[in-house]
Amino acid sequence: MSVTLDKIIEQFADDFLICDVHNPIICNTVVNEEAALYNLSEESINECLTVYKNITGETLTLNTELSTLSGGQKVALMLLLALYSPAQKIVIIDFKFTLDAAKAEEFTRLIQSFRHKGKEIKLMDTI
Amino acid sequence: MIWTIPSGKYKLWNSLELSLETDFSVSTGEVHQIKGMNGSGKSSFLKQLLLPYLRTNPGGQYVMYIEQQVQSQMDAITAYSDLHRHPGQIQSTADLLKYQFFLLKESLAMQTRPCIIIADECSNMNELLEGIQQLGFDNTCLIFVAHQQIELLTKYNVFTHYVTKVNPEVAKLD
Repeated sequence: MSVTLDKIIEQFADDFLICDVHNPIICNTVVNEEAALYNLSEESINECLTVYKNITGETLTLNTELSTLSGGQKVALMLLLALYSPAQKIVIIDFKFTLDAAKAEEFTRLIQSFRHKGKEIKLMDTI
Repeated sequence: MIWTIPSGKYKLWNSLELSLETDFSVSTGEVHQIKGMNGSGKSSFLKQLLLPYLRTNPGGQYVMYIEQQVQSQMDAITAYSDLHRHPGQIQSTADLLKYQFFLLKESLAMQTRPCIIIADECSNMNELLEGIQQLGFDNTCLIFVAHQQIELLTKYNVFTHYVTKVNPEVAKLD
């Protein structure tokens, strides 16, 4: 489904956590502060960082500067923070755009597993 | 017009070196795609090697750069356009591209020069190619990063380069 970003915000901003791969990072400081914005528990953050390493092969710590991550790595982090956050409804915009094929496949599987756990996750493409 | 970065080893960041296996050579009328895994060094190659090379090796070219995750560039150019004759013109990344091409065309009207367009995962390839077609492909070189094949470019001969990590601190570009 392809719509404009404005339409997505208009339609979903009240109920959904909106994740835009074109703007993946909010605070641009360190991992810990970014995670705090998603209201993750300490346990969830640790799980998130473990899965990040499994998917990307790179190690992140709570103090990793976000400016040292590549664009695709920022997107991977955003997706994990969103999936492990308490948000039950998530819209992910242009999901595969910045991910290489292997990571896009990994995240497709992960998103599916969170859907099975009860999260409502919409994947949308912008025009 | 041909631009060549000689083969060799280049320090992109303190923790990342890029090895150019052969000369990286591009010319007007050509399209080059840079591919590679996330975190391999594609954007770093553009920002830390190609753009500085173009700045320090004056070939009289105009350079238009569309960065990855374009929001901060959009804020800066929107502020510029608001202060220079065109308030409220930029509302989207498509508008941003149109405005960049507008400025480029103004510059070309004053002085014709070859153009290099560098696009890092640009989400508006339609507008980008439309802008290049208006400038004329013969006078323009397009270098872009994208994971996917761009359908709109199938009629062009696209040279593909791959950036791969050899180890955590060394990448190579073929």
